[in-house]
Amino acid sequence: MVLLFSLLAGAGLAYLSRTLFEAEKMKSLLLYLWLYFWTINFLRILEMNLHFVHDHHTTMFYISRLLVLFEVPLLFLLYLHVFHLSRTSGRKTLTVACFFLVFTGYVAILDFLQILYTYGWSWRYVLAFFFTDLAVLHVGDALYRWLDRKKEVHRHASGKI
Amino acid sequence: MLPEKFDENEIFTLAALAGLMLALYLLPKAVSWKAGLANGLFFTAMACFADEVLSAMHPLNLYNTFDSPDLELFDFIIYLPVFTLYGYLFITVQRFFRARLRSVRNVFFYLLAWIVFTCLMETIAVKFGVFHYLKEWNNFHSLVAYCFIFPIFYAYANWILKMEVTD
Repeated sequence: MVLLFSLLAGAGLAYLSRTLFEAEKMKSLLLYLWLYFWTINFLRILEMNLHFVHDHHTTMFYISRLLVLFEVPLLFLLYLHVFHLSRTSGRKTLTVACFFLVFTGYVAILDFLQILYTYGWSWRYVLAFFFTDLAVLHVGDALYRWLDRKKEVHRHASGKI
Repeated sequence: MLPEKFDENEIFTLAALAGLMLALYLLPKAVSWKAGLANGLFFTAMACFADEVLSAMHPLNLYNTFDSPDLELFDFIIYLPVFTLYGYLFITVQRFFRARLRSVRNVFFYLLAWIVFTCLMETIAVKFGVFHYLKEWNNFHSLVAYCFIFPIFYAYANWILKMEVTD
């Protein structure tokens, strides 16, 4: 069950996000790697520095945990896609709220299956994970667009287009 | 999160960062920032994944980095700017030699040069206390690991270079 959940969730997320990678390959790839880096290190801070999360896993839990670390960035990329589709600020807020519920459910399952083995369920893990990755994602997205625009302006100015 | 003591391992990391920045500044800009970053972040992600599997976590814990097993500021510095710039440098150099990397023999020697150079850098990093080998891990194990990882880096960089053309 532990491994099955990670595999099924991974397959589902990969299927859902494939169109994103087809449409904007480079941007999706950059954001995915950026998010993966922060997710893995944030979890390690929780485990090794703060000792909020247990870090002694059996092999099965360990493999499942590695798979989950590949999945979380996909979940956030899908959220970003929906966020950009939302035109008004009201809809954007609704998107964030809905995604928070989805993410809470996801972390609750991870906690229930003990893939993320906490010393007891606490909202602080969900909140910390959610807002850290959300901030990282939007900072990455903003940086990407800013750099892209800057280079475009530079290319236009230097007459390459 | 801060280092226990600012000593040779932190200085080595900053020197490596400065060296990479200088190298990329001096080299002609051969790839776009997107391609460079996509490759650089892939290096970073692979390093994180390798550390996750081999280093930091139970059950293996074959090596530690810097002053403690915990994550500290210089772990972030080595992951994000240092490994990212190393990946940036890798794809830049690959772009230069792309025309010559048509035969298997040339690719083999090209990768061998990178593997040897990276092993050398790691040996120096170990001397400076950036990595602390635990259990029976040694330079030879790293060499074997690089022999598997660098062909992946090469294939990935090629894919990025192809994507850069169509993007």
